[in-house]
Amino acid sequence: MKRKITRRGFLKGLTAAAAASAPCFVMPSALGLGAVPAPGNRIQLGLIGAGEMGNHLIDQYLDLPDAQIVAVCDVYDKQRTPAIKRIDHFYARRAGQGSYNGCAEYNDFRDLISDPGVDAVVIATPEHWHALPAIEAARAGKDIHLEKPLALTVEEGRKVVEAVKRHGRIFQHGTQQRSNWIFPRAVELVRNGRIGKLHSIEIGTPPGAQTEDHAPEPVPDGFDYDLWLGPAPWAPYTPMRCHQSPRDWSYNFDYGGGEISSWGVHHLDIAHWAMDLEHSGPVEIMGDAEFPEKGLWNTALRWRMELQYGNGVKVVFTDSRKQPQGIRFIGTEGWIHATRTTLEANPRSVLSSIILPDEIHVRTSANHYQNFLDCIRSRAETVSSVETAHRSTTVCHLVNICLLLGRKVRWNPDEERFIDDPDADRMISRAMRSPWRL
Amino acid sequence: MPYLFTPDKTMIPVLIFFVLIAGTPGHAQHAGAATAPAAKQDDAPVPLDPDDLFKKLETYEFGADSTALARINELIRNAGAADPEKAAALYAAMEEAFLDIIRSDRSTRDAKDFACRQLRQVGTERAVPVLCALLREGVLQEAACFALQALPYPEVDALLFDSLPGASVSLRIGIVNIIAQRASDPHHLNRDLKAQAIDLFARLMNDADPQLACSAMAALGRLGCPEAAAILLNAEPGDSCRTPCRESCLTCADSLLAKGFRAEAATIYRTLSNKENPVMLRVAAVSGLVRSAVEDALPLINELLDDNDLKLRQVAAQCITELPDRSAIETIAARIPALPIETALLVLTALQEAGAAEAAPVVAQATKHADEGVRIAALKALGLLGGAEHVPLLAQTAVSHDAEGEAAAQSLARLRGPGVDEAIRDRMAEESGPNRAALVYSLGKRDARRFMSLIIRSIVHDSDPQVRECALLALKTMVRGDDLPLLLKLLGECESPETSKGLVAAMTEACLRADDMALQLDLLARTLAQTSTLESTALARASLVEVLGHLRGPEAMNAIRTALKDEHPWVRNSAIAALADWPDTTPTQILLKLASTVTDSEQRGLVLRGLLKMAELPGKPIAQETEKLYEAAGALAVEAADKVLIINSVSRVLCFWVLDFLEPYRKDPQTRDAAADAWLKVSAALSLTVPHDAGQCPVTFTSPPTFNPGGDQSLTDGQYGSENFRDGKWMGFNGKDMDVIVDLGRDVNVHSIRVRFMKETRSWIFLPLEVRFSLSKDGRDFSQAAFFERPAPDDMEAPGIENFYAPVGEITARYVRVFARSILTCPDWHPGAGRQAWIFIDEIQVNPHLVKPSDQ
Repeated sequence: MKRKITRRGFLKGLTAAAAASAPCFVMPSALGLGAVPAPGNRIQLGLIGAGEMGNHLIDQYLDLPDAQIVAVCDVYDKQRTPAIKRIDHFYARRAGQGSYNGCAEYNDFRDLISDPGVDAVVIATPEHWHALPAIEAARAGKDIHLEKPLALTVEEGRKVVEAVKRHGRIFQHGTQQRSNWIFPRAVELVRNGRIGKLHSIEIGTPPGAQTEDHAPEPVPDGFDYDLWLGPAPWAPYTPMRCHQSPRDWSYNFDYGGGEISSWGVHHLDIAHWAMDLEHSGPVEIMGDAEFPEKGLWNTALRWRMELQYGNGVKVVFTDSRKQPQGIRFIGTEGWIHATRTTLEANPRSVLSSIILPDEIHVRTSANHYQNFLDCIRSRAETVSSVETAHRSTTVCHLVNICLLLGRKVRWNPDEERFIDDPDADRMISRAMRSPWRL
Repeated sequence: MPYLFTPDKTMIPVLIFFVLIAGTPGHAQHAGAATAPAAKQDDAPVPLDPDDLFKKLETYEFGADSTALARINELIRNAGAADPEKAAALYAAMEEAFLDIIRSDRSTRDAKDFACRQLRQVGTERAVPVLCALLREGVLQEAACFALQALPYPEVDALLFDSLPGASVSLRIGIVNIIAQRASDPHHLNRDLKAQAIDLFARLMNDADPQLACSAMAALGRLGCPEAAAILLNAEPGDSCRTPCRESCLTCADSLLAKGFRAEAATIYRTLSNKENPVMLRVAAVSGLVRSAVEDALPLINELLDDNDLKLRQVAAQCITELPDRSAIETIAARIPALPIETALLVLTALQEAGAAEAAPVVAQATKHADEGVRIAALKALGLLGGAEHVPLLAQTAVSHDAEGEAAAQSLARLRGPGVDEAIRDRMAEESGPNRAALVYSLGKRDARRFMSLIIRSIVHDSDPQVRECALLALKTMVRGDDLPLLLKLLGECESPETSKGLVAAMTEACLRADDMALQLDLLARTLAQTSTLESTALARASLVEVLGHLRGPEAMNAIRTALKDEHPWVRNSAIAALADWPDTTPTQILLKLASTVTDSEQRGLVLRGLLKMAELPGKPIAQETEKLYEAAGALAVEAADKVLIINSVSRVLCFWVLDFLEPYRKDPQTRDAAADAWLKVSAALSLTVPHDAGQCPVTFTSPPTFNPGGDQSLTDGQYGSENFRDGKWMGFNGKDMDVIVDLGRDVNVHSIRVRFMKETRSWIFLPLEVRFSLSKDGRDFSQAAFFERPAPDDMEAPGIENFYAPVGEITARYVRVFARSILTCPDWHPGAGRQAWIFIDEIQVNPHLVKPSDQ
């Protein structure tokens, strides 16, 4: 029988979520190896956010036989209901049944998290709604796949890290490039000195976008706009703010960091990986950018940034109109250029180099989503762990803060604070709309 | 108030600068002198009048033109680029202007909201009372809180405390959260705030409103000091606040631990790890307990590994990675044989994560565990934790064709530490058959080049074919460009076709891995030329030709052409195979010539496949050549399978002659069905090719496209879009119909119209529900010439491109109108249900030219 949407007060939800007895699935003896697990052994997933990315993730997890999506949460019934129909339809077909309606429906993420039938959550909400559901899920003992970038501010990101570690949760960040063989291969080549000493990295990502001004409109029936805004500053409703495709909200600083965060986090994450600075960050950030001349979106359109790291490596991060899409590692003896579909190098022989057993090997994964499920079972660290996620997301925040201040900033990655720069420190955190809090 | 921006006289120089730095809209904002490009001399800056901008801001309402707001943001960013003194002055000027906005009765709510947001960045002590005053104005409370939280001044704290009495619950919660954030910041300027905050939160945690009480508890937890911890531990909250209170204790303990108060933190963790508490609280508490006293954590971890609750066992296993004492890890590892399976697996994972090499003996023992899952996990772990001494065990297991064998083989290849390669070599001497093969293969995977001679000896001398095969694979894995001479020498001595096949693969790899492949090609070609034409060297010659075929290039082609005349059929076959597999059309004429001369059945088959490949490659100079290739292939085909191969291949050529070519095959009973399918496919597709009579003609829209990266002309540029709607050739209409008129520029005898639409429902792109073609001579009176209708889809559809093609007879017209009725919004079943749907079109073609042989 399908479970119903529940709506409830904040406190009730908080209590219920924290007090929920932890779900427990039977651990297959082969740690995910061997035959397809029986239905009772599947990891039961709850999806929070059924927009464009959420639907993509539904496709990914439906494909994996050892997972079952058992609940969907979205604040808009026009997104939630079709997603649930699709999931139920898929499982009905897989079971050879005429109908199936086992996927529970929630409007409020706290209700989904407190559902004892959910083992792990997949969070694909806008960025201003990343940290709080992740922290709540960690408290409730759920493992977490959280879409990138990790959080909206440096402080939020650090709190997510603390919650995940405190509660011993398995965490997978949506930086799926780590599960594309090209990037770990490039990283291993760089870290093992195949292009000599690394001195610079060039990153190109898609540019931002500009839109018109959009007049306020009535909130559509079935859309819980107040919950959509959640901790973000209040603003009048307009469709372009919330649910026009693709990911319009991420171009507004209230809810995201633009392409600097959305795409940038992918390659910056790979850069950290290659420099073995996954738990650190740049020490100096400077650059320039162009911003929209008007409209709802206010994040950078085009940019060129220089990030100086403590190891002497300089990362030049631009939109792809200034340098090619992808990431290029430049060393004293050659270069490697990686995109999601290509890997090139000079000299060519670098590409056929074998990494010896006693050299550096990085954690690898052939499928980002399967890696999450495997690690839920084994309790090993995923390929995109929470600390690395926080550090790569932090760089995106630093870039945006630098651009908003209009000047160079210096950063202490150990203390996660700017150096002698109280104006910049103001932007490390952001007040949440009451009653939301970290 | 006549002016919103009313600086005193001392501000005038600042203002002048303020204006000068403003620049043009959307121009680069410089953040850091090191990368700031020089301003473009030819871009005359558009003077900005801040007064004007702030005046516009005063009346701003959301949804109206926000250019002024964007420009003000630009001013703020530009101010930051100035030297610190000027930047401070510019910030001060802007702060004053924002404060005026807030104070003004004429300012809209949205203007004040915007001003608050900017004060978060540029506000100083001066802004504090103005913002705090807003806390009394319901609609702007949140905006004021947004700014106040960021302002580091002690004045904020005092005014926040003052604002609490009489405030709504929502505001009080907001203020509590802000104070907690400020008081927990170790860099906060107000040193007295923490003590004041403790008093406040202690009072509010007993408030009748549970939300406020919980917020106060969370705030205490955030302070992370012994005093706050004591209050939380001694609290007796009601049911609704019990769990938040314990969570706050946890937060407090974590903060204390981070600050070095280990004993205090441990006391809290111990209390929270009580079995009466919810399991996740216990999980966090025991994890904290381990971290607060890692040296003494062994008994606790051991105890938890036996707990009934899986989550506690999981956290216990994770804590193993934190243990600094390696002997403690060994002690836990020693328990593996006696642990339940699930727990043993958790411990094995933890040992791997910890890189606990000292546990390797126990892990090795676990490879003999009764449970298969444990054995596999142990074999995998051994790859990371083991050393040379584990070579025999892994080699023995690697031969089994199951998951255990695979895990062992992988571990054999990963095994680290000194002497592993030597251990493998030594073991090889003792083993035979599959074990020996597994060992030699692992040397390749390990890139153990210092044992290459051993591998080569295995290739040449080992009596076991499996060992020879694995040695060849190992050689292929590890070869480099400079190994080619050695490989050529080996080839010269080789008599076995299997070995030569492996050597071909290795030589090809060696050449591909070389930085300068031309040198490799040259060496291969010279070697081939210098090799005697004796019977005894035929295998080597054929192998060299095969390698050259893999590498390609003019030099390789010359050598292969010479090889076609070789006396030995092996060499000739190898040469034909290389030509047949050539990646471009270079060998077309050679293959056509061969088609008329070859008699040997193997060679006929190779030539036939080569001809088909040539025919299918793009870039042939003339269509007749394609036809000739198929005719030649047809003449070679004897078997039905070969004929079907030809039919399938030719069905991808969209030319009229194909229909004639297929006729004999349609009459042949062996190929009738395949030929009929191909005939239908080709005849249907023949009407799908540009150019057309509307090429480059201007278009006008009733309502302009929403998405138009290629410009209006992309509709008639004769270029098809790909399946990627972002390729610049597609035009999109969002939430509206498409109505477009093409001006042909002259009267044209229109006989057909074709339009291409995309469907990609996952991206909210739908086919039109209705498409109409109309024609006109004057651009005003249109007559409908064709009409299409299709139902709305009821499920996701496979993405694709669909043609709407209509022969319209012979109508003279100058204007062609295409109307496409959109589904407008995504249907109910769609993830975007109710949101605007798209129509995507890439080309309108009038009289699309049918492709005839003479056109190509």
